[in-house]
Formats: sequence, C-alpha cells, structure tokens
Amino acid sequence: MDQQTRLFLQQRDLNFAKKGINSGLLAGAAWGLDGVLMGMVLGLAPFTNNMSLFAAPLVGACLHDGFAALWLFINNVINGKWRDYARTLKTKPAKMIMLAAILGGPIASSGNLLGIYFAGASYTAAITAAYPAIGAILGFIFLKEEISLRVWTGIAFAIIGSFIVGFTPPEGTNNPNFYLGLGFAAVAAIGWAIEGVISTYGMDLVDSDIAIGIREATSFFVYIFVIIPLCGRTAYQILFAALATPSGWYIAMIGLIGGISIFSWYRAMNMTGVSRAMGLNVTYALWSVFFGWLLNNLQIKPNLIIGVVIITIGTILTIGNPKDLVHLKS
Amino acid sequence: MSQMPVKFRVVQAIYENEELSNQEILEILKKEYPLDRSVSEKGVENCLLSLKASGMIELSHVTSDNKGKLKLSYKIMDYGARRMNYII
Repeated sequence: MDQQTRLFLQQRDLNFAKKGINSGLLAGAAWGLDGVLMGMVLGLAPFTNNMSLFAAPLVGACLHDGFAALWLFINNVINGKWRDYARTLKTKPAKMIMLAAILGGPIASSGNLLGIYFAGASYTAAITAAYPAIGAILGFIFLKEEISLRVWTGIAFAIIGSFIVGFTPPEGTNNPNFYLGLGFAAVAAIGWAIEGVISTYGMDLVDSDIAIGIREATSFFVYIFVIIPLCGRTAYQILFAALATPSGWYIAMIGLIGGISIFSWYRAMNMTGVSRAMGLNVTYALWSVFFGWLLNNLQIKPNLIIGVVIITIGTILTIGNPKDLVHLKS
Repeated sequence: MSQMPVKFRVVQAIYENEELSNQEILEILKKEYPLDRSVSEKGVENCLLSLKASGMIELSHVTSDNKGKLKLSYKIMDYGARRMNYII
C-alpha cells in the first residue's frame, strides 16, 4: 500500500470517528431542546388537570415515543432501509435491543418520575446524572471498550456539571418514602446505562438506524399496552384528550426532535463507543439551560453558569483526540 | 429461507469468503437485495466502517481495479467470528 493510499484510509477512519462525535453532540443538544419543549407542553391542557400525578407525564412520554417511532420509520423509508425492520425483528440482537428499549424507555422513565415524586427533583437529577459513569464502567467490563484517563476525567466533569445544573437546595426530606425515591432514581440511571451497553452490543450486527426504530416502537408499545393500562382510565382520558387538542400535535413535532436526538445517540454509540457517546449525550443539561433561557424565561443563576462551564470542559476532554477512536475495543 | 438483515449478510459474506472486497460485497448485496435502495456504494462503505470500528472485521489488503478505484479487502476478526452464532 503506498503512502497516499495509507493517508487516505487513515483520513477516512478519522472522518468516521468525527462523524460519531458530531452525532453525540447533536444528540445532547436535541435532547436538551426536547426536554424544555416537553416541559412546556406538559404545562398545557389536558396534562394539567390534576387528575393524576403520574398519568400525565407517562401519557406525554407514550405519545412522544410513538411519534418519534413514526418519524424514524419515515426516515428509514426515505433512506431505503425499511425492509430491514421485518428481517431484523426475527434476530437475537433485535430482541436485545427490545430489552434495552424496555429498560431505557418505560422502566427508566417511570423510575425517574417516581424518584421525583418520592425524593424530589434535586436528588433524582443528582443520581440520574451518574448514568454515563455507570454506562462507561459497564462498557469497559462487558464491551472491552478502550477508555483513556482523559475520557474518564471528561465523563466525571460532565456528571459533576450536570449535578450542579440540576441541583437546587432540597425542600426537606420528611417524605417517609424518601429512600424508596432514591432507589427509583437509581433504577432510572442503571436502566439508561444498561440500555446503552445492550443496544451497542446489538448494534455490532444491527444497523443503528433500524435499531433506534425498533427501540422507539418497542417503548411506545410497552407504554400503550402495559404502562397506560396500569395508570387506569385517567390515562386514557388524558391520551384521547391530548390527541384532540393542540398539545398532542405539539408532541408530534417534539417527537421529531426527540427522534433526531435518540437516532444520533444510537449512531454515536455505534461509531464512538458507549462511554464517549454517553459523556457527550449528558451535555443535554447544558442545552437545557440554553433553551430554557431562550424559550421559557429560565433565570440564569450562578449554579447554572458554573455547571455549564464544567460540562463544557468535560465535553472537550471526552471528545479528546478523535485518532484514539479508530479502534473502539481492546 | 427468509432473508437476513443487510448488515448480518455482510458479516456472513466476509466470514465465509476470506479477503472479500468492498466491490464484491456490493455485487453480492445488489443481487440478493435488489429492492433495497440502501444497498449502494456509500451504504456498503458505512456498514464496513461500522463493522471495522466495532472490531468485527479488519482490512486485510488494498489494491486498485483497472479503473483506478480502490479495492478494499476485509477479513473476519476473532470477535466477529464469535458473534457468528447470532447469524447462523
């Protein structure tokens, strides 16, 4: 192989790694925007009628994942990949991705909501912000991912920054189920981390664009056939009411942003590895501050600025040198 | 027999044929998946780069065809061979 060809191939591998990093950054930014917009829509009718504390956000999540699944399917039709859905569903890796979807979708999201209910938003945000570290450890053990000290430091910074952004002084911990709430928050963090590792293992063989389509569809079906029925009639009332009001259609558009985010997250995990993709995805906390300020009059407090600066340093360290990304596993 | 997903077929083809080139892979896929628009030069390249990054396959040698186009040959790695039980 001559020198020119060698350089061309090196550049090609490097471009692939850089594309993965860009996907991870896009995933974080889109997830930040998605969260701010979902928060705004959940403040509109019919989600605010106080019929049930849990039902409203779970119905919102159900609609969100359903519309995201639809947008992802349309994308796969446009790219000529849609025939791979049926072929992939019969395989073992697809079943792994479905399991990952259930863990990271309904189970982790419900854990997050129950954590907020029992332990408060601050403690829940502080615990769930640790999911990239859990994901990195699991990726290191089970996927044999190569993670340099610099990347570990970057992930730690991103988590500390997210913790500072999400943390506000707690309003008291008199709730008798406080520790149960911490447990639910831990379920959410572990669920998201395991989702990343299992789905990345599955994506060694399954195209990431198909994997994420299956992930969102599975999440939607589990919400609609398991979680919503468990919430009782109220949930159905909110669901049908949402579809008859602008709120439901706002969620349809937010589902497009959520679809772009999770599509980019799965691509990043496939292209740059679980630990790095999660370290980049957790920058959603940074983008939540920006979009919250831009769209929802979020007051910029010192803790937000400090947190954002720390997340940015963490992101730069996590990105590191893309040349290290050419081979992801040891 | 039902068809396997495109990425599975790429791994299987490299597993069964030592030193298969990107161009030969594209020919196999075009023949077996004539309706899939994702089976293109770019699609196959992305698939091979993803498999290479995750340690399933590696580049074994590079030559040029008579049009000066690069012919990249791949072989299966141990990790890829171990994952064949998900395919066969």
